[in-house]
Amino acid sequence: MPTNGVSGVQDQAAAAVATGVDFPVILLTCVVFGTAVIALIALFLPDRTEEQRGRIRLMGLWGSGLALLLTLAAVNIQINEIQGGARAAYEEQRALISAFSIVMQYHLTADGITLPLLLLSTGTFVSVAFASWKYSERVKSRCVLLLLLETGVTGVLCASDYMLFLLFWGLQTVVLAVFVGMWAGGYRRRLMTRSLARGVTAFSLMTAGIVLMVVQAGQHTSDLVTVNAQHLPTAAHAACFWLLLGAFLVALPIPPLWRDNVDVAAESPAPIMALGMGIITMLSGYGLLRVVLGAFPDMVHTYSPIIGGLGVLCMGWVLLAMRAEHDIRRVVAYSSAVAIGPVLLALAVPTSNALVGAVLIMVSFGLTAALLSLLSGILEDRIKAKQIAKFGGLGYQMPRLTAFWLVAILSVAGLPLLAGFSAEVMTLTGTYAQHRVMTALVVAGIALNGIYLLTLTRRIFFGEMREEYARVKDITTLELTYALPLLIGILLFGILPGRVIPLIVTGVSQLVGSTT
Amino acid sequence: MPSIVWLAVLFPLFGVGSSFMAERPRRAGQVCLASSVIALGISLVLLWYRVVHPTPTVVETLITFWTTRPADAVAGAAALPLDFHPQIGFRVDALSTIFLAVMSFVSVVIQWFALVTDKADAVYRRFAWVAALLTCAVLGLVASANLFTFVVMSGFATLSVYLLLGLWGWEMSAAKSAMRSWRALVAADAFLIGLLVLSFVAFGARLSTQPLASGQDVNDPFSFSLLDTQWNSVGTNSANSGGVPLALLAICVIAIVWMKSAQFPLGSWTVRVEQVPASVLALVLTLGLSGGILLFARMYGLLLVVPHVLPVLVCVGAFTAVVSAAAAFASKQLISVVVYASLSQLGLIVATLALGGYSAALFMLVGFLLVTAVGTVAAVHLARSYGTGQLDEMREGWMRMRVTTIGLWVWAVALCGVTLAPYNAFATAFRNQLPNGGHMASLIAVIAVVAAAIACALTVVAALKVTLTVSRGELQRRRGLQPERIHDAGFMGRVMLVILIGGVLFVPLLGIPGIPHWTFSHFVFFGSIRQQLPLNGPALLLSSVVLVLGIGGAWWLFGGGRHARMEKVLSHENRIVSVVARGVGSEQIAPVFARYVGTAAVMVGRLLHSVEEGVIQPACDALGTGVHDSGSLLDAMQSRYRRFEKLILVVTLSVVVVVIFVVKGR
Repeated sequence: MPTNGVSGVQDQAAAAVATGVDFPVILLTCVVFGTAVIALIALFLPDRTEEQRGRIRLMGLWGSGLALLLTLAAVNIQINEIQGGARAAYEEQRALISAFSIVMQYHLTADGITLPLLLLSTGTFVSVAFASWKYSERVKSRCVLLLLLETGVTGVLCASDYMLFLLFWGLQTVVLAVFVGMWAGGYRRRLMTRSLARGVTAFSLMTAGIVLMVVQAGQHTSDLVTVNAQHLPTAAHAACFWLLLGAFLVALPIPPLWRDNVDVAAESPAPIMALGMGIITMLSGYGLLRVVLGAFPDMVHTYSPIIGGLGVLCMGWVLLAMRAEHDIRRVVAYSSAVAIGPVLLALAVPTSNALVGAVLIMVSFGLTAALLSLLSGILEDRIKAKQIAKFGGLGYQMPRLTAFWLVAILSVAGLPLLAGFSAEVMTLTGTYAQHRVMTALVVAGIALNGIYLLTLTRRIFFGEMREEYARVKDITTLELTYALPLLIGILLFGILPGRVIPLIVTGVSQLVGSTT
Repeated sequence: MPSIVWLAVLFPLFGVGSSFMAERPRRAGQVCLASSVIALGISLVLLWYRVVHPTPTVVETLITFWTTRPADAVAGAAALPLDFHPQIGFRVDALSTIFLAVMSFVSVVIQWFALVTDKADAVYRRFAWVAALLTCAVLGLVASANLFTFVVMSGFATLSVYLLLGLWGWEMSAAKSAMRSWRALVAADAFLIGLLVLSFVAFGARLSTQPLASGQDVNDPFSFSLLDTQWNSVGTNSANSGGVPLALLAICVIAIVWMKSAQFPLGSWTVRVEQVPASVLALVLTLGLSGGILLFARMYGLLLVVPHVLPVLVCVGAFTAVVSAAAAFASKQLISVVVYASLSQLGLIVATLALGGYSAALFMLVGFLLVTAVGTVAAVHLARSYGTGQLDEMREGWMRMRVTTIGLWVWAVALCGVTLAPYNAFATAFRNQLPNGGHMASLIAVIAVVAAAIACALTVVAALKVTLTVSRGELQRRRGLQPERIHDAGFMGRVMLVILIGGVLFVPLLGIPGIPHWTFSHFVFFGSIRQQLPLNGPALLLSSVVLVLGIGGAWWLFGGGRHARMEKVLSHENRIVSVVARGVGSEQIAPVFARYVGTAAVMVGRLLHSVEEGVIQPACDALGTGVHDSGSLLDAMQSRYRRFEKLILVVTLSVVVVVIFVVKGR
C-alpha cells in the first residue's frame, strides 16, 4: 500500500497530527528532483550572450533556492509538530520496479537525522550558486552540473531504499568527478581520475555490500528499513559490514586518502572546495550512521574500540599533517577532516547523546568548512597568493572578512553559542562513558585544531600592516551574500540548539531503538 | 530581586551590540562604558540586597539551553542520566554579589581611564566593545550557577583576552602574546569541557534519581549547589567506585587553575605584552586572570574530598609566588616588574586558598584586583609617557607625573602589606585548618610560610625599587626623549586613578581581623561555618618583619647615594636570580617547550606528508590511471563500433522492456 505525505512512524499521536491532508504531498520529491528538472530546462537554454548566461545563472540559483525554501518549510513544520508532541517523519513511498524478484521502491523519507543535513546541503548549494556567479566560462555546464550534484546529494539523504541510495550515490560521485575535471586548475586530469578512482572503489564496495545484504535478507525488497531489520547469516553479516564500512571510509575519505580532497581543494575554485569540504564528506558520515549503524549495530558494538581508535588516529594524522602545510587552502582542508574523529567515535558508542552530537558536528563542521573555503577563496583572489607566509596584517583592511573568519574558526574551536559547542558537548558526554581515553584524546584534538587555526588567523590577519596590501578591498556585497547565510547558520545552530535537538532526537531514537 | 543579576551580566553585552551603531569610536566607548556603569549599579544593588538579607540560602535563576532525553545506556559502562538539559543561569550568593561589584567597578574605572587617555588609538572602537565583552564574560563567570554557564562564559573570556591582545597587532609582540594567551586559555577551556563531561557522567544518573531541587523539573547535573551535596557521598562510597571520577575531576580543576590563573610556567604570555595600552594590560591582568581562582572557590568542596590535591596546589602557588617575585626583583623593565609582582600575588592567593583560607584568599583576590589595576595603569602610563620601559631611563616622576607616581606608590605600599595580603597568607598557614576540619601536613604549611615570606620580601623590594627609582633622581637626556610629553593624564584620567587609589585604601577596612560582623570573612565563607579569623599574633609579627626587611633592604639597595652599592649587590644577585627567573624561569620554559614540541610535530607531519606523497598517492594514481585506461579502451571499442551503437541501444532497451513485461505477466 503506497503511503504519501507526513505519516506517523512511531505512535498514534503522530498519525493523528500528520494525516490532516488527503492529497499526495510530494515535498521530498520536489526537494530532490526539483533541481534536476531545472537542470534539464537550463540544458536547453541558449548561452551565447551575457544576458542569456545571466538567465542560466538565475535558473541555477532559483533551483537551489527552491530546494532550500522547501527544506526550511519542512524543518519548521517538523519542529512545530514535535513540540506539539508528535514524532513524525516525511515519507513518500511507491513501488517503482516490481517486475523482478526484488522490488525496488521509490521510497523517500526525511526524519530527524536527515532534515538538519538536508538543510545544511541545500543552504550550502545556495551559497555556492552565489559564489559561482562571477565565473563567466562554461556557465551552462556548471549550473547544470551543480543542480545535478544537488539532486544526487539530497537524493542520498532522502533515499530509504538501497537501490535508490546507490543510484543517487553514483550520480553525485560521477558529477563531482566531472566537476573537478572541468574546473580544477593545474593537473586537473590527474585529480579527476584519482577522485573518480576513489569514488568508483567506494561505490563498488558499497554495491557489493548492499546487493549481498538485500539478497541474503530474503525479503524480496530493497527497502532500507525492512532489510536492516532482518537477521543475515553470520558470514554474510560480517562480509556486508566490512564491505559497507570500508566503502564509507574510502568515500569519507579517512587519511591518508584525505590527501585527495586536500589536493582537489588546493587546485579547485573556492565553490567546489566548499562543496567537497562541506557536503560530500558529510554524506559519508551520514552513510555510516544510516547504513552501517542502522544495519549492523551488533558489529559496531563488537568493533567499537577499532572504530573509535580509527577516529582518533585519523584526527591525529590530520592534525600532524596540517602542521607541515604552508598553503592556506590545504590547512583549511585538513582542518575540516578533524570532524572525522568525533563522528567515528560517536559511531563507536551509539548513545543518543553521541549520535545527536555526531549529526550536529556534521552540520557545524559542514557550515564552517564551507564558509572557510569560500573565505579562503576570497583571500586568494585579493592577494593572488596561497602561501600563508605572504599574508599578514589583513585585519585592518578587511575587518568584515576577519570577523567572518573568526566566527568560523571559533565555532570549530568550540566557542559557546556557536554551532560547534553544543555539537562537541553532546558527542563527548555521550561517548565518555565507554571510551574515556579516546574521548579525552578527541577533546585534545579539537583544542589543538582550534589553536592551529588561531595561529593561522594570527599570521593572516594580525601582525604588521603591509604596504602592498594597503588597497586591498574588504568583502563585497556579492561575497557577503554567500557568506552571510553560512554565518547565520553557525549562529542559529549555536544559539538555538534547543529548537533543533528535539528534532534530531526523534531520528536518533529510531536508530538507537533499532540498535538496542 | 535576584533576577536582576541577569541585567548585571547582560548589560555590557547590550553595550557591545550598541557600540557598532555609534557614529564615532569615542561614542562607541561611551556606550560601552555606560552599559558597564549600569552593570556596576545593578551589582551594587544586589550587594546591598545580600548584605541586608544575610540568609545562607543561594538564589538561582536559570533558563534551559536545550533538552534531550537519552533513554539509553551503554552496556558495561556507567549509567547515564535520563535527562540532559544544560541550563544557563546565575546565582546570587555572597561570593557572586561581592565580586560582581568589585569586578564591574574595576572594569568601569579602567574603561573610563581608556576613554580619556586612549581615544586617539585607531582601534579604540574595537577596544571598547571587546572590553565590554570581557566584562560581561567575567561577570557571568562570577555569578554562574552551574558548570555549563561557567564553560560558556569562560569561552567568551578567553576570546576577549585574545582579541584584546591581538587587536594591537601592529606590535608583533602583542600578537604573539595573544597567541600564547590563547594556547594556555584554550587548553584550560578544553579541560573545562572535560570537567563538564566528567561531572555529567559521574553525577548525572545519581542526581536524576534524587528529589528535585525547588523550582526545577529535573536536577541539573552541572549545578554547583547540587554538586556540592554530592562530593562527600561519592567520595566516601566505595561501592560505586566514586574515587576515580572525583580524582579525574580534581585533576581537571588543578589544570584549569594552573592555566587560567597563569601559574608558573604558564604565565609567560602575560610578561610579553609591554606594548599594549595601560587599559588593556590592566583588564587582562585583573579580570582575565581571575577565572581559575573563581572556579577553585566554586569547586572547593570537591578538592577538600580528594586527597593530595590541595597540597599540590599549595606547592604550585608557593613556587609561582617565589619565582615570580624573584623575576620581579631581577627585572629592569617597569611593566615586567608590575606583571611579575601580580603573578606572585596570584600564586600567593592560590596557595592560601589551598591551605584552607577560603575567606582569606578571596579577600586577597579583592585586594589583588584593585592593586593590580592601580599598578598596571600607573606603570604603563609612565612607560608610554617616558617612551621607554627601562627603569634606568625614568626619573623625576614625582616632579613631572605626580598623581601617576602616587598611584605607583600606593601600589608599592599595598604590596608591602597594607591590603593585608601577607598577613592573611601567614595567618592561614599558621592556623593550618581546612574548612572540613582537616589539617594540611606540617611540611606543606612550613613550605607555604617560607615561600610566602620570601615572595613577600622580594616583592616589597621590587616594588620599592621601582617607585624609588622612578620618583626621584634627575632625568638623563637621551635621544628621542621628549620631556614636554612627560605629564599626567588629563583631569578625568587623574580622577579615575584617584578613584582606584581610594578603592585600594578602602579594601583593608573590610578585612581587619578580630572585628565581628563587619568583616569580609563574616560575609563570604565556605559551607555553613563562618571563618571568623581572630587576630593572629605570629602572623602579624612575621608580616611586619617581612615588611621591615623588605623596606630596609630596598632603602639600603636603592636609597639616595647608594647607587654603587646597588650596582654591586645587583651584579651578584642578578646572576643568581636570573638563573632562577630567566634561565629556567617562566619566560623561557614555555616558548622553548613549544618550539621543540612544535618542531617535532612539524617533522612528524612532514613524514606523514612524505608517506602520502610517496606511497599513497602513486597507488591512487595507478588506480586512477587504470580506470582511465579502461575508459580509453572502452572508448576505442565504442568508436570502432560507433555505427552500430544506436542499433545496439535500441535492441538493448527493447529486450529490457520485453523482459519486464514477461516477468510482470507471470
